[in-house]
Amino acid sequence: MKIKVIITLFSLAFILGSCDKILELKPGNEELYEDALQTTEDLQNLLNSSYDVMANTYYGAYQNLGELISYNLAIPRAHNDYTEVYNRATIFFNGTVGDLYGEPYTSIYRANFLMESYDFIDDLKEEDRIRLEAESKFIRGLSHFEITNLFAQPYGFTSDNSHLGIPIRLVVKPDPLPRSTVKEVYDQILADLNYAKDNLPDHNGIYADKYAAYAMLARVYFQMNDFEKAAEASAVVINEGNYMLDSLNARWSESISSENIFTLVIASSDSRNKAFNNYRSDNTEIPELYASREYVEGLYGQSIPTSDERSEWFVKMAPTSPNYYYNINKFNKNYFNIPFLHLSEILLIHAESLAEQGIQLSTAVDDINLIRQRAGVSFLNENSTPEAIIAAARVEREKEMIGEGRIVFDLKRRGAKGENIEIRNAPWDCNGMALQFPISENSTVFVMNPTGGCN
Amino acid sequence: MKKFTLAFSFFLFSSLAILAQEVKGTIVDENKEPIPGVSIIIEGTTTGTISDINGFYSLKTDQTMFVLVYKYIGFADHSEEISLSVGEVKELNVTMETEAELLDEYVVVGYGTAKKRDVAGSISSVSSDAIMSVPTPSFEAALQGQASGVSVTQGSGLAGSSSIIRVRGISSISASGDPLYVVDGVPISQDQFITGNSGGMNNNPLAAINPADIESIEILKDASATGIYGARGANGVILITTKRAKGNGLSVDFSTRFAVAEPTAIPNMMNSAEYLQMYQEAWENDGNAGQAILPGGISWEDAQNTDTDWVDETIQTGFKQFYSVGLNYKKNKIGTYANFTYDGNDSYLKGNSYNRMSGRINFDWNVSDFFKINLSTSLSSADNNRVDAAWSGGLGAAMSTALPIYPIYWQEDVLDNNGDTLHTKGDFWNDGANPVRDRETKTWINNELRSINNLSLIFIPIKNLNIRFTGGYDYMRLNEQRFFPADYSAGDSRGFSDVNSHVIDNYNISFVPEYSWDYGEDNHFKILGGVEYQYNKTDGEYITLQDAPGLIDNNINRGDSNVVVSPYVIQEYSFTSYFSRFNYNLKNRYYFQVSGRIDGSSRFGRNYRYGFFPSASAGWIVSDEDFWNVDFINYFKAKASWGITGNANFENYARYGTFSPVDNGGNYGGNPIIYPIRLENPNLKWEVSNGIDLGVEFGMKNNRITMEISYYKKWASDVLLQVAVPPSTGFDTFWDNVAKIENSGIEFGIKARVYERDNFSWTTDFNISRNFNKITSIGLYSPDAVGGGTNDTRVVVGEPVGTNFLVRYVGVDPENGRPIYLDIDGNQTYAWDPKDRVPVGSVLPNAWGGWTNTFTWKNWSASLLITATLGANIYDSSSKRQLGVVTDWNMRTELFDRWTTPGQTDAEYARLTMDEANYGSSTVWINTDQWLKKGDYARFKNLTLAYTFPKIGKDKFSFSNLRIAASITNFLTFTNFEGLDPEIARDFENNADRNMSQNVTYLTPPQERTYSLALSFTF
Repeated sequence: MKIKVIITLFSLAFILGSCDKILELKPGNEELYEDALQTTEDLQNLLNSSYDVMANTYYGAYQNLGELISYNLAIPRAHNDYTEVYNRATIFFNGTVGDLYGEPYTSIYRANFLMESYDFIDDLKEEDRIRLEAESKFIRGLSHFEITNLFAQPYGFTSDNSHLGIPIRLVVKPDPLPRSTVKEVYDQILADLNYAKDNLPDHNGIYADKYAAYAMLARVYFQMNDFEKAAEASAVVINEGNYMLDSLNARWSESISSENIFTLVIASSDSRNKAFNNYRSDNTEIPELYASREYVEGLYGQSIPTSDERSEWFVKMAPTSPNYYYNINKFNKNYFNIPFLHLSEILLIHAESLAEQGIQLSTAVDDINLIRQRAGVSFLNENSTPEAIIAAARVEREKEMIGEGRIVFDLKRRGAKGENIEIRNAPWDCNGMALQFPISENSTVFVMNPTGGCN
Repeated sequence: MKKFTLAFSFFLFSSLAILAQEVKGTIVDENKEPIPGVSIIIEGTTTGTISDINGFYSLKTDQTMFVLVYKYIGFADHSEEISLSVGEVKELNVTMETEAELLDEYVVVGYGTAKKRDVAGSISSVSSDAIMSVPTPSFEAALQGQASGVSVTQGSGLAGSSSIIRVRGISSISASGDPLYVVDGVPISQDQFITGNSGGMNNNPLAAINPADIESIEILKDASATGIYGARGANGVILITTKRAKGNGLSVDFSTRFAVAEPTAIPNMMNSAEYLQMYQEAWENDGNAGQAILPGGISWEDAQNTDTDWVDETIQTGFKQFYSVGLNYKKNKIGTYANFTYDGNDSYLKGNSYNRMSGRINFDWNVSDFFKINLSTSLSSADNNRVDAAWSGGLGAAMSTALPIYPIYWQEDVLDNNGDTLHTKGDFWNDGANPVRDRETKTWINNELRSINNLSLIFIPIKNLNIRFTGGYDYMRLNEQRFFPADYSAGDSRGFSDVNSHVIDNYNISFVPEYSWDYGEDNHFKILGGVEYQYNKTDGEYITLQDAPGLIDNNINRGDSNVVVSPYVIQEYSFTSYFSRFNYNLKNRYYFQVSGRIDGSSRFGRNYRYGFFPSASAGWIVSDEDFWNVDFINYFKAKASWGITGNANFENYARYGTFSPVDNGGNYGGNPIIYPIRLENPNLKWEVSNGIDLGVEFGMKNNRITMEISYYKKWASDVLLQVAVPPSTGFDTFWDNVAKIENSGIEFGIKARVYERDNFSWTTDFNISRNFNKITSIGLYSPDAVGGGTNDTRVVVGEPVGTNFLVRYVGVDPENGRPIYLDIDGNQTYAWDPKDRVPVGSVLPNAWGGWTNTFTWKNWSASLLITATLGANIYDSSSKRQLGVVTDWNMRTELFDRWTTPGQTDAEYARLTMDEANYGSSTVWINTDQWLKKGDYARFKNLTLAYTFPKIGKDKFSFSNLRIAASITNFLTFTNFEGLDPEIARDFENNADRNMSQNVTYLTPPQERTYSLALSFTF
């Protein structure tokens, strides 16, 4: 009797509790994967978020760091993290650098997530899948490339590019990864961009299309000093892409300029970290970032503005004081779309790549003169030597792309090519020219960048 | 003559009747041997006698109804109710029982009680006396020094602040390392971070518990004791048992206490002249000429005419008052214990107090022999009047950004260029830090309403079968209300109010049958089983009100255009559990226990829905064996246990892979976006702790001396890290079971009645614990994967949890006064670079202990508790700003010992500068081991002097236990630490910070010293 009572009670107890549902408590404001990803539209929305992160990354956060390690800017006024970058002595606690480092990887993560999620989707058509995959790979290739530019020594730093690049992220997982070599990184970038080039549509609204992939390839090959392929890719954009130079300031506007090849769109309501605002001199605050005298006076002389319309981007402040300085007014706008890839850059890559090969020199001169014409600068002689064309292309690039963060990569490219390049009295390949990784990237399999050597 | 005699007799009776009645007899022990020296006292009086060499005693008295109490060392107190007729001489022989039998003392264990003698696990009990004897910010602070293996770091001087309690070291990193708190069988809500780190303080969920309600606290330490709590037992379990009716009839007890509080230490900040001198020196050292430009736009003239002692402006003598009335009624089948307590608790910080009103009714009804009901219900309402502290302001500002050259009020009207008044004389100065203004203008109250209830229905259908259904409900509502008047936030015509509100509902139901039986005379069995379900939900909202007249009240019009209501996302978790425990006792000499628990939790990942947690233990009373012939040890028990327990106190939804919903408000080019928030971790599970415990308990001289020695070792694996995953993964953090931690240690405790004779006694209670802690793995992650907040403690393999990971500081270069550091290879350098950080210390104590000595003489008693902590480092984190680069922080006077002249070799601090580059750094936050100090200390934690009056009055209206006591806490500290107070529990950002960064001080208010006077009695 007793035993029966006891056994009954114990079994009753276990039956009472054996209900697994009461352990399924889901987060309130978030959706589980399987609920969030059901249709092709959901995948598109996921892809949108990857673009969305890029719009944040490239609204100055990325570009400013490139400008700061170049000679274009003067020492920042107060921003501690920026000053470290300017001094080319970033430590691994630098929050601004660390945050920026993570952003392109967030785009990559979302792109990778998309490419691993096809099984969730019931209505996925093959053509949609290919387009989504091509866009994802475009974003992944672009992102890997831009991180490498800032955080590793450039392509060509070692002859076989066996020097350390960055971690390559191709799958979604939380584990630490080691750095791949720069060769491996570039191989992956090219693989992704070539897939994108072959599979993206000719036109794709505000999203990346075929010509965006070609333009990206031109940028990458040029950075590799592979002039033949850089010229080829840029020629496709110039000849087939139907882009036209716009008025000088149209690139930085609320509309999408006719010269934009790939635009990151920004709306007035976007609450982004608009890092280009660090240049703004149109409100009461004194701008954090402003041009160096070396840059302005080296390109335009002591007295601005000159007949070159681009000199109007600079305003000499406190002109009578020995402490005078140059504000940059190019970004004095509440918001604008970001011309991430534009025809001016591609024309100059095209011109310089041709000149480097010593071929189609008149085409190269025409490319440069298109840019000069818009700026109101006298034309380059049709019979210029390759050296003169190269020199002209470089000057135009420096003038045209101030604030876009790319001039320093070009200096590094030239250093890797064997030119004797010094940037603010430091060699192009001193340790600090590659920004330090954030400490959170460190692991037992990871090697941080060496520091120092630039001062 | 006869008449006279009669009259004389009456006279004798009425005046000299003292010796009219008599009780006499012989006192023997269980072996019929007489016991000399037994003290025999009439309870509640000082009337008494002592037995002679033959055990004979005789006591004459005028009383007729009284209780005689017989006391002798090594024997249980014995009492007899005496009723005499006038003139009666009563013979009363007494047999006293040795106290060995007294080890039949009961302790509370998980889901029941057990004889202490029968328990083979490690359990420490702390009585209500120890908890009530001193004013503490919150009851758990009183556990300090009371139990071996339990390290208690009391909260700061902030009213209501929480202590850090660690049971046998720490084996968690990102998950909470706190023990599980169970009140009357209900695991309570114990989240320290409901409101995060608000104003330099974490909300203390335990502060609402009324210490006067507590009957006892048991701390379960080893795996066999905590095993029955399965996935939540790994960090120890603290069982709080509240008072229930006892005795017979009605009694009322009353206690009150008044206390004043002051800080244990006053920061030695510079005054105006000193600050200006140092500031100017740094200015000139940096190559500047003329007078330095002062912070806050202050002119030199104004600065020199101002000397505000901000420390003095932010501290006070706090006043504390405590009143508690308890009602105890027990008759026949009904028992009721009720209590009402008001605890008004000002801290030494101006404007800061924690005032709690609480009531409790515990009701027991033995309906029949087969059915009993136990009900416990309590309600507390506490108002915590908040002030900014630490980094947030108040005393923290007085120690940092509130400069002595800053005035409290504008000294005259200030006009702008147009002649309009900018500032009016007498208004609060607001061009820089002004903690007085912050305190006086802002209203800031945390109100906590807490109710902990449970109802048990106990059925006893057959003898020895006990079936208990229990339902528990723990309710907590925390409202943090603030009001900033108009002049605080410019542009608001009246002011700004907000309320940060959280409600936690915590339900618990359990069903626990227990059956015991005997087989023959020697075999005793007990089996317990049970199921339990717990569900916990946190809901809340944040409301702001623009143009507010004052604090937001409950009737706020939510539709008002000035009101913004933002609901918080509901947080839920649940546990379902099945457990069983089996005890076998052979001959009351050999004890065996096995237990097992299966826990499922909503927090565990898809692949680990349930965990199984077994334990086993054995105890052997060796002294009961025939071969035992060690005469001076009358009791000897050896015990051993093993078990696996878990820790599941971590984030609720970390296991899920989730997406933001499509209506998240974001878009790209007008197109909706969705994005993954968290990566799924289907393997997320509890932390595993595999532990052994070996111990002996022994008693000597009839248990006049008892000792307990334990050795333990715990291997924790699957320890959770909320890793700052490499940013290249694309997301921020991830909860992963990756780390391994080992703890081992030795505990020693001794209790002795050293001297007990002639109305004088001395008892001593000493315990000391040594813990070794080591992280043995953190997977592939680097030491920086989990940072202890901003405190520069890290997880380093081979080092303890909470390792100080700092650049090494060598000293000042005598030639140029620059600080010299060591790089990672040990070479001297001027450059401070975080890549050169190495493990240099640990904030965890290696050893700690408590020593209580109690002396009684007649009705007087004196008790002294000394606590000590050894082997912990203190990281005096704010010193880097108070003694570092000269900025707009005030400095401490130690900085006078700075380098000034080439060749100076004895300077403690570097050449003053305002440019961090001169200290080799690009930041003024230069963390080095220069600020790492030895944290060893011993302190007189509490001294209490008490007098207990003899019983006053008679019969029903008598006062007994009337006691007056005076106490001082924290009144003497022995330490080499030069900072404020070596006992530090600062404000924390999260559990990892709390686990890793105790003993890091950052403008942390020091402990309080209290002087109190207490009165208590029963009638």
